[in-house]
Amino acid sequence: MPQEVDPTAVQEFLNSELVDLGVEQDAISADARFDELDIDSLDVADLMTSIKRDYGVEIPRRDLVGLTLGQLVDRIVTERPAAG
Amino acid sequence: MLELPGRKYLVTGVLNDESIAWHVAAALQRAGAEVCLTSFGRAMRITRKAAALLPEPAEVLELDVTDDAGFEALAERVRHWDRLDGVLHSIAFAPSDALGKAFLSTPASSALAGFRTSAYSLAQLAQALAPALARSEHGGAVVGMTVDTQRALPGYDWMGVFKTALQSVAQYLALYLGPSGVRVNLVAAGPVETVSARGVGGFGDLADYYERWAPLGWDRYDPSRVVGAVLFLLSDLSRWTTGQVLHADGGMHAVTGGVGTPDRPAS
Repeated sequence: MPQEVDPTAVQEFLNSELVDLGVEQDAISADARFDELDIDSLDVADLMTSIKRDYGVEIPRRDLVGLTLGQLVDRIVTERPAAG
Repeated sequence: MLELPGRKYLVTGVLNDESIAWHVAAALQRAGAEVCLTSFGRAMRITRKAAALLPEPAEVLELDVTDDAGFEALAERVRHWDRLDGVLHSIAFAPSDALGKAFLSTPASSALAGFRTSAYSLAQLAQALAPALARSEHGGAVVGMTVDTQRALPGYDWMGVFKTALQSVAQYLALYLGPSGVRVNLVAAGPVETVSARGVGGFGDLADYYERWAPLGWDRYDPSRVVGAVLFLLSDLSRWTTGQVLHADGGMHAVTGGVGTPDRPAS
C-alpha cells in the first residue's frame, strides 16, 4: 500500500515549487486561485511535472481552471493512493 | 511490437510528459533503444523532470536551435558516439502575433523568427548529425513533425506557413542526404493537446473538428495516436522511404468534414 500523504507536506511542496518559479510568498495561500497566480504556461508545465514526479498524480490542464491552491492540495492527497 | 535493441536516437522537443516527443522517447525505450534528449533555456529543468518520468533514465543535452554554436557543439558531441540511428525534430515556435488569426498583421520579424526555429532548424539539425547518422548500418533516420499543410488551418496561421516550409526543407534534405543513406520524413499529426498547442488560438475548435469528422475518430488527449507513425519512420522498416509525409490524424486530411452528420459518434 502506498503511504498516506500529509496535506501539510504537499502544501509545503507546492509553496516551495511556486516560490522557485518566482511567485511572491504573499500571493500563495489556500484560497489563491491557481489561474490568477503570476505564472505562465511553462511554469504550469514545470509544476505539473514536479507533482507527477513526486506524487505520481496527473492533473489535466483543463481541471486547473478556477482551482484554488487548497483544492489542488486536496486533489493530490486524494489521488495519491490510487496513483501509487 | 517493434524491436529496436541497441539502437540510439536523439529526441528533441520533450518539454513535459504531454509532449509528443516524450511519448516517442518512451516508446523507443520500450523497444530497447537508447534515447538522448535535447532541450534549452527555461524548458531545460522541465525536460529533466520529464526525463525522470521515462521508463529509463535519459541524458538531456542543451540545444538552442537559434544558435549556430549550439549545433556545432552538438555535432562535436555526437562525433564520438559509436552510432546514431535517428533523430526526432519536434521543435516549433511562433511569436504570439503570428498565431490566432493575427495573420494579416504579423510583422516580418515575427514571421522570420518563427521560420528559423520551426523550419530552418531541421536543416541545421540534419546537417550537424548527418555524419553520425550515415554510420548507422540501417541508414540514419531524420523525422520531423508537421500538420496538415494542404489547406489553411484557422488560427494556425504563420505556423502553417512554417510547416509548409518544413516540408520543403525535408524534401531537399532527402535529396542531399539520400546518397549518405540518410532518410528524411515527416509525420503530420492531428491536433494533440500539449503546452505548445495551447499557444494556438482556436486550437480547441480545430480539435473539435477532427474529433467530429476524422473517419477513424480523434482524441486530442491521446498523443500515442501519433507515436506509431513516428516509430515506423525512425525504424528500418522505412529504410527505403524518404521525402514522405505520413499523416497520423485519423484520416482527416483525406476527407471533407462538416457535410451532413458524421456516420459515427465522435470518439
